[in-house]
Amino acid sequence: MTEPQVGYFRLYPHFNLTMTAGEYVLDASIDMTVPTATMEPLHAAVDVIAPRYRLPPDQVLSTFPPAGSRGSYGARLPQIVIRRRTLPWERNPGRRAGDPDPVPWLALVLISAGEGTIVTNKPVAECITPGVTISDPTVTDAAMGDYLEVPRSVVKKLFPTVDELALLAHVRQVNLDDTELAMGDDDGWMSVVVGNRLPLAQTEAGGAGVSYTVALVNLEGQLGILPKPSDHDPDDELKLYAPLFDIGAYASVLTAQPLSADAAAAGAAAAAASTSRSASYASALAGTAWAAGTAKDAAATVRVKADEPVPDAHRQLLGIIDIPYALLEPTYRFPVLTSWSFTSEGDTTFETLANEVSSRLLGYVAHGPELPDGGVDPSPPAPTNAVTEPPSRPLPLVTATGHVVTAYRTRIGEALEAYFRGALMPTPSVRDGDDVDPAHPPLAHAADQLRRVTPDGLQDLTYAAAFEIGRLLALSRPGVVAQLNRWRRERFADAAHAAVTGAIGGRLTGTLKGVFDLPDPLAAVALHPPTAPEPVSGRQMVRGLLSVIADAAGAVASPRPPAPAGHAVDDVQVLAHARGTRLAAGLALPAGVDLAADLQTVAATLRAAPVTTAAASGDLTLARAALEEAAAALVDAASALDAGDIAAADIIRRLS
Amino acid sequence: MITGLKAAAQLQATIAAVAALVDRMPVQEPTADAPDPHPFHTPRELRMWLAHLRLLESVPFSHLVADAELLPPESIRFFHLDRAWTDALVEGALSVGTVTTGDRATLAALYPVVREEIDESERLVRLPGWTAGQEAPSGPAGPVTGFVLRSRMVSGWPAMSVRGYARDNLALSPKQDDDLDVDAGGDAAMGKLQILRMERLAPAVLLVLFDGVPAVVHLEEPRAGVQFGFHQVGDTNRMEVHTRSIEDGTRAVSATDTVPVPYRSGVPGVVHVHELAQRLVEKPHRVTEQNPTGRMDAAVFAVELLQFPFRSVYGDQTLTPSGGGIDIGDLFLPTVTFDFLADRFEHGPAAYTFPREVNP
Repeated sequence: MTEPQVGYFRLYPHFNLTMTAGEYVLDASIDMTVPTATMEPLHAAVDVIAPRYRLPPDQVLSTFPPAGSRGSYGARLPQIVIRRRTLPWERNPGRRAGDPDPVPWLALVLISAGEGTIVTNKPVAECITPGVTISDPTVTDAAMGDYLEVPRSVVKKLFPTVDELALLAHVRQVNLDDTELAMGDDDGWMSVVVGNRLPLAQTEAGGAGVSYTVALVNLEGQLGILPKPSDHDPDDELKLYAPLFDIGAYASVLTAQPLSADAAAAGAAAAAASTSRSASYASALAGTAWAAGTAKDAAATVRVKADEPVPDAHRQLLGIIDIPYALLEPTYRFPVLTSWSFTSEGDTTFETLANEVSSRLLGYVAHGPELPDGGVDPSPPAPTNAVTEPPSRPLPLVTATGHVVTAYRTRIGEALEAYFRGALMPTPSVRDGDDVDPAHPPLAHAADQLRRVTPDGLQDLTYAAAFEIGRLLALSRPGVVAQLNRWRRERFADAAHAAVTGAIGGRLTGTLKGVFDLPDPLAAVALHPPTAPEPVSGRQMVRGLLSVIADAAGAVASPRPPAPAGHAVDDVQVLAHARGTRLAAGLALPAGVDLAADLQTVAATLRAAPVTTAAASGDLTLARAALEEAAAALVDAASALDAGDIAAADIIRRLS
Repeated sequence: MITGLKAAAQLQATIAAVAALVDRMPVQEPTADAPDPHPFHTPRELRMWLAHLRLLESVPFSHLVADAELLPPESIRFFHLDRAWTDALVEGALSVGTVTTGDRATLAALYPVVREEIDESERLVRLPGWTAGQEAPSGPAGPVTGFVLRSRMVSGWPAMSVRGYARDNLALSPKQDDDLDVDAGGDAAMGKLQILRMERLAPAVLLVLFDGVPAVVHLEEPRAGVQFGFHQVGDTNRMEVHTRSIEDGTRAVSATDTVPVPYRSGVPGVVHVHELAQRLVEKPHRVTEQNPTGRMDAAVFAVELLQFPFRSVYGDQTLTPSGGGIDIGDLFLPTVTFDFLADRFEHGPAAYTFPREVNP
């Protein structure tokens, strides 16, 4: 399937996985009769694993409403976007055989304060309603998990029905090319689980918004608890928010029980503390028909409870964290894979944020509250969105060029000011040297080369700082430094070499040219075959010259022939018979000197033998002629070269 | 014996020779799995690192925006990238390990080539969807612009879509509406700019660099996070769904194509999803080629309920019907003007001290 175009996305209802998570046994046998042997059937255990109690944190791409945020979310359903596209269908929560579509095992439940409790870090065996059996309970992804404990009435009112579950999870395929995720690991496929409750902000009593918690719960084995579609009548009217389960109402009932003296005091405090909530509850009672039903339920529940012994219930009710719903009505536990909280209030949405964002060029300093589209607001409202900082320091001084006047301490410790501008500026930029010669931009070798002093005496450190940051960033990465050095050593230096020698070689003539083209005797005997042509150089030039001179018979002492390749047999013979003569030859001693003889004989022979030198050969003219020719050629070459081409001078330098 | 003059002449000649013969320098052939349009002299890894550096990767934030006041909360700031600044950055990186005068001379000779190659490589850093064998962008570097956005939009709605166009959709003829007409088909006409870099520098700060100067920037709510939602009916306490064609997602316009949203009776805010699905199924246009049985599944349900992403458009406000908006001169009001600087430069800092102002 191809990717959707930029700006489009595709929707898929579900993934129908043939193997949901669990333990499987793979049985394979071949129906074949072999007279003398039996075919062993294959019996292999296969575990298909999937998250069960914990959602790996990197799997959450985004949540709506954003975690920890405050805003106007009342017209949108909460949702969680999961990177793993198959996740909602990886477990079978109890799908019936006839169901056409797989049922997701996940539901997104939105609860407000008091409607349920999220208990964290409990052994996973405790994370599910006691008595509920799930398949392969021992195959878990975590030892400890969180669970949501909710009273039965909340489950019945809030949780989606089984057939709604399938509608509340789907798969999206999104084109990520124009987003920040583009170059990452994401492939654009994701699954989305949506809640069924609008996070309403307004309450009957007004107030500053409602706090909600969203929990992604595992429904495995507990589909039967979910409400039926027939449990609820549809109602087109949207009521204001009211808590489904107001502990305050219970508290006021329960505090009416006879109490011990100190508990009575505490109970009174609780009743006082819950006044506002009770009030909202009461007004809800009065306001709508449905609320009467709730009141009846609540009254019934409380009456049942009142009939039972209530040991210290009032004390526990005071604890906001661990409300023992179990004392009031049966509760259920659902493993929570992930949860987050937010507050629904005001009118902040993506749209209002985008419309109110202050849009300017970088360098603009806001001098006070402003309207997003220009002008200073004549009657600034109390800033609700912006975080205002206390007026602790002066506003930055921004020049018309975008530079900021900043504090600067010099190397000798003087406290001065300097101009500085970051890499981002409000006006179009000109590259250094573009106004002079774009083909040959200037290159700085040290940061101080880029310091500028403005006419008022302040330094402009903009580019010096940039240079230094670049240098430090390169130095902070050993890999980059190594690459730079390798590049410089291998290819950069080779290129420079090749360029110089190429320039020389092209200008040389005659013998010198021949000398230049001689292969480097050392480089030619490379142990490894060269991958690229060997660069020639002044060093090679010198070697060539010397070999020409040396080849002139008699000019200098005859060169020592290159040693023959070692040979085992030869070595043995040398060691056995001719060690003395070989050694003498190696030391360029005259023939007839036998080093194997006794010392006195050797000394006498050596004393008598003539010393071989160039002068002794007597033919100096030859050597002189060779050298003169070389020098003349050099002079020719040098004069032929352009002014400033010191390829020749290079040779001279290397010769001298 | 070589005099200083000779040595200098020698260096110059070396530089001239290297510069003239840089083509002889061994080039690195592009590999099939890297988006290189042609062979380069600079080794790929090094070149790409320098290109990343050019796009300000890992440059401390205070070196991008010199003062926190320049990027207050809930603000978007557009900018030009200072090419001289990024050049200095690269020069600093290249200066590492140049020990001798010779090193520096050769580097200076090669620098024009290196700079040109990094210019070209900037475009190879962010090529989403590039596959081996595909053509890679090439050509000389132009101006680079972009914006930094510091807003709860960035932290709360991760992975929002950003597109910059060289021509404003309202300046085209025929005019293209911000909301309805602009889509992938109009990219060529509007001159869509390549995004060189797009990264969240902090949870709530987004940096985007465009290859060129955009006339209009479209910022869109992330599609991955597009939510289910409803429309309020007038001023009442009822909500409704404006149904869509499941063929192409276009919104049905007639009043008969709206469906009131049912809630569970007695439970404020909890949508009666079952009933809502029933009501949607009863709409006549459910049966289509893509959905031959006309049944309601999660995808069809999503098409109906998804609120299309909000698109925020930053462009020339004089083109909008209401016109007006902020004056172009007010987009950047320096605290220290050119005139002030000229006076200060002429008469000295004592006579013209900077006008200090404390945040109200």
